[in-house]
This record gives sequence, structure tokens and C-alpha cells, in this order.
Amino acid sequence: MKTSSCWTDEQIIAALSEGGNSRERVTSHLIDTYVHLVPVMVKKTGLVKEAALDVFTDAILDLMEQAKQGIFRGESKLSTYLYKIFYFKCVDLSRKNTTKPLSYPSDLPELADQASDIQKKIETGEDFTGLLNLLDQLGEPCRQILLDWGFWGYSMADIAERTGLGGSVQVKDRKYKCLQRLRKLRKSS
Amino acid sequence: MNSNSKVHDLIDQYHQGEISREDFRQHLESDAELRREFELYQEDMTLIRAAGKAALMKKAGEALAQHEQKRLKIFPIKRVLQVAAAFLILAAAWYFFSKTGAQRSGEELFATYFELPAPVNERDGSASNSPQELLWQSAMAAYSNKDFAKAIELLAPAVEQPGFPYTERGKLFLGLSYLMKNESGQAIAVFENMSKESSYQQDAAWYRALALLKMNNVAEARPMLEQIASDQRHFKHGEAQEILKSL
Repeated sequence: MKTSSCWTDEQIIAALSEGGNSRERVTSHLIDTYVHLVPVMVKKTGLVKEAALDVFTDAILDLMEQAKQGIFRGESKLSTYLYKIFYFKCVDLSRKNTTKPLSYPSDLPELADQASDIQKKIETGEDFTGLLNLLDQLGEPCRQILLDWGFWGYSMADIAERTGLGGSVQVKDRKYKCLQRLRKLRKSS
Repeated sequence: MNSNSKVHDLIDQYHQGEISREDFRQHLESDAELRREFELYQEDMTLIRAAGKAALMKKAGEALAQHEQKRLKIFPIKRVLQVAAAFLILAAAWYFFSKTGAQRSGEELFATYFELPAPVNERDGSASNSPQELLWQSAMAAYSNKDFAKAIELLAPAVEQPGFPYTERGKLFLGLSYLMKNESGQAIAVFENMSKESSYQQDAAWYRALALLKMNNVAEARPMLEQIASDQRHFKHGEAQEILKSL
């Protein structure tokens, strides 16, 4: 197993784009390595710590998404790149005092305009906690299956191994059922 | 169910990057059911990503708390030393400036407010030609000529003589002569020794306070000046107020 201190920039980008366990481990490494930038940015931009922490997480997610989409090609050092993303997001927030909690580039630009109610609620902060609670209401293993699949990009086989739910076919079926339950909860919420 | 399963398979393939975006777009354009399902998928993903972000934020918060604790562990000794050094520098500076500042200030205040009174030469009619009267005249002449040593030589024994007609006045000029000879301690002793009933008591208090300032004894001078300043009838109460503001 690779120790967190010996990741090269290329390995980090590869792990982020790969998904699954590599992405999860390297994300932890990025957080541990660069979280010291949060107080630096608080001092530099005047943001409160909680806001800077939120932006820091956004910057990590942006980097993760850009690595996935092959946008970051390693022309600059990864630390510099992350610092720039973080800095400009902080400056934006301190200027506007608003920010998008999620800033994933749209997978499909032509559908981006159809902002869902959920996205709007998340962006405005309206009942955000309530929405997050929906996932908790699903309970385990649904919550883990959906996060592993949707957020970390684990394969069905990996999820099967992590959750002990048999094979990938069973997990795929379980994931489908979990999604149906989530949609029902969303509808009734 | 078949159709539904196919739709989900397609979305899964897109999700895992197993199908190109262009291919998926073509499927979307031609399949209304896929479009409906894909919208739901996008909503699911928004929620899942938000939950993922919340978990990451929690982790980042914990990492930050650890980082801050590490800094606290590293910094106390360094910080304590910094604070102690800063305190010592400030204390030394305060001590230096309070001492030298008061010294300068006391001398400056003495120089600003001290005025040597003119000699009192008028003769007492009843003793116009007496040896004591002549002694007084000689003392005042020496004082007038700024021969303060001579004035002290004449006045010091005179004020102790019983029946000397100018005892209180003599003590005042003796004290002033000591002050001019830079013998402030002697001057203060003489001013303190003046009678409380003396008509020169206000002068004695004023010059004693100034003598204390000249000696940089602000602690003792201040209450005397406060007393003078609070006495509206004292001939120097305005000046005493000014000095107190400068201290």
C-alpha cells in the first residue's frame, strides 16, 4: 500500500481519475496535506474559517473532477494548481459573499440549464440538511452503496467486497432499489 | 422491464465512462424514456455528491483541528518566550522612560515655574538700627547679589536666634538660598520647619513642592501640588494645576 507521503503529482491525478479506493485514499492525502492552507486563506481573504473550509472542500472536489475529465494535465505543480483554485474561489466568495456549494462542471452542457429543484435548494442552502438526511434515512448499506458508486466511483465488484453483499450483480440490483427508495423519499419530502 | 433495464445499463455505462459522451448524447436525443431517467439520475447524483462533499468537509474539519492542535503543541514554548521577551522589553522601556522622563520633566517643570522672589528690604521701624536689622539687610544684600552662600551664612544662625524679628521670612530666604545653591534637601528641611501659622506658609509649600520636583521626587511633590491646586486662595493654585497636568 502506498504511503501518503510518497505520492507524485502524476500518481495523484491518476488515482483521482481512476476512482474507487485510490480516489478515496488520495483525497484524504490531499486534505491532510493542504488543510493548512485554510487558516492562510482566512488571514488572506478575511473569510470565516467555516466558509474557507467549505471552499477548500470545493477546491478538492474541483480538482477531483478536473482530473477525471482530463482537464488537469500537469503543466503546473499540483500544489500550485490546487492553491490557485482555492485562492480564486475564496476571493470570489469574499467579493460576492455567495458561492455554489457544488461546482462540478456539467457532464452534459445541454442539460445544464435544467437546474433541478435539488440543485437550487443546495445552491441557496434551503433545506440542505434535510436533503442530506434523505441519504441517512435510507440507512446502511444503501447509503454506502450510493456514496461508493456515485461519489467515490467504486466499481460494483469493489462495492460488493466492501459491503459483503455477494457479487456485482447483486450490488447493481441493490443500488437500483436504493435509488428508487431515495426518489420516493425525495418525492415525499 | 427490459426497456427499463436497458436504460439503467446505459446510464451506468455513461457513469463509469464506458460510453462516450457523443454516443450517450445520441441515445438521449432518440430515447424519451432515457431522457426522463437521466434527469432523475442527475438529481440523484446532485444529492449524492452533496452528501459526499458533506463527509469530506467533516474530514477536512477534523484534519484542520488536528493541524491547529499540532501548531498549539509546537508553539506554546516559543510563544511564551516571545510574550516574555516582549514583556521584558516593554517593562524595561517603561522603567527607562518613567525614570528619565520624570527626571527631565521635573527639572523642566522647576525651570519653567521657579521664580526667585525679590529680596524683602523694608525695615522694621522698631529695630531699624539694631544688629539683627543690620544682619537682615546684609543677608538681603547678599541674596540680591546672588551671593547665596553668604546669604546662607548670615541667615542660618539668625533664624535660630531668639527674638530675631524676621524668623519666618528669614527661613523662606534661607531655603531659597539653599535651593539656588542646589542644596534642595536642605531647602526642603528649612521649608518644612516653617511655622504653620506663618504668613509665608503658602510660599513655603510652593517652593517645597518645586524643590521636590527639582530632586525628581514626583511621588512627594504630587500630593503637595494637589493640595495647592485645590486651594482656590493659594497664590499658585493655577500653576500647580498646570504642573499636575504635565506630570
